[in-house]
Amino acid sequence: MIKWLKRRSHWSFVLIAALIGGLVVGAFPGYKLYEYAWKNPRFCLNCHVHDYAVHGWSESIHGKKTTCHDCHQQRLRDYIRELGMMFYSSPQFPKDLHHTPYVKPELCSACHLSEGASAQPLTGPMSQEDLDLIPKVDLSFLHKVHLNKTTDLTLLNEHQQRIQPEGPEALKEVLDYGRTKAKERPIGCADCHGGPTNRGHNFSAVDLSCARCHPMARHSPVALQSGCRLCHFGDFMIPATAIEAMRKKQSNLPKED
Amino acid sequence: MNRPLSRRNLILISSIGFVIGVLLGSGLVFSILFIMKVLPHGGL
Repeated sequence: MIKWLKRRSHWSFVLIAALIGGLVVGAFPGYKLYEYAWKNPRFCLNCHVHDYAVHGWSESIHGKKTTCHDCHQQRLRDYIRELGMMFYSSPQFPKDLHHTPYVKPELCSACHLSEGASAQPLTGPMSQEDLDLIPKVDLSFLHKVHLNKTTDLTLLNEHQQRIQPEGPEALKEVLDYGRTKAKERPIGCADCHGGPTNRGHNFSAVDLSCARCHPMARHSPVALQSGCRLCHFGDFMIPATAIEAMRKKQSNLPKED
Repeated sequence: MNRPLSRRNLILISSIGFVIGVLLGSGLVFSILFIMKVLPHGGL
């Protein structure tokens, strides 16, 4: 083989042959690198230093079906910008992360609304059978009520809730819980399940989310003592059809004298 | 003009070519797969 090469050889011929061989062999590490970058949260953790979020996500059902990139979608140029940032201003602590990432509402609806599972293929991917098993929140009573309403409050960002170091006055902002007004828009999943309260990626709504739109209710003695969800959680789970049937039945009952 | 390569140069050139090929190949495959994932949702 070497003699044959020597006979024919020109250095460029050898170089091209070696290059082609290298290209073929390099495809495998390239694929493994892609797998690491796309599917392994440790890649993201190099800069997004929030191990608590990764822990919450990986322990949840989302950790088994999705990747970081599935929900935190961004433009290609942002990935390139972040690659640069990785070298010259990589965050060291969670406090160095200054924003709550935007997550498209369609992402939640892809699995959690009865007619949303269309154009958002996740890395999973989930089979149609699995998708059908997920409870559809738009069919539950209080979820349906909220999804049909609008709000003029902004979607929360971390900086809107950050406590400023100016003593008791600063707490007022936290108590008001970011009631900044903006253009009227439909209520979305992230209004209750996102924002700063979801930095742990466990996606459960918290009482603060309720208080933001129902500011007076939070002052009631029951709410102050037990929170909102103690009484109202069930109404977010019960099928809307059950409530409607109950109301219909009640309206048909003979009136008491 | 086309002098036969010595064994030493042959190994040297093929090694360099192979290493460059591996780097190019892995970079190319990574970029193509990653861009194919990002573009449909995030765009440019």
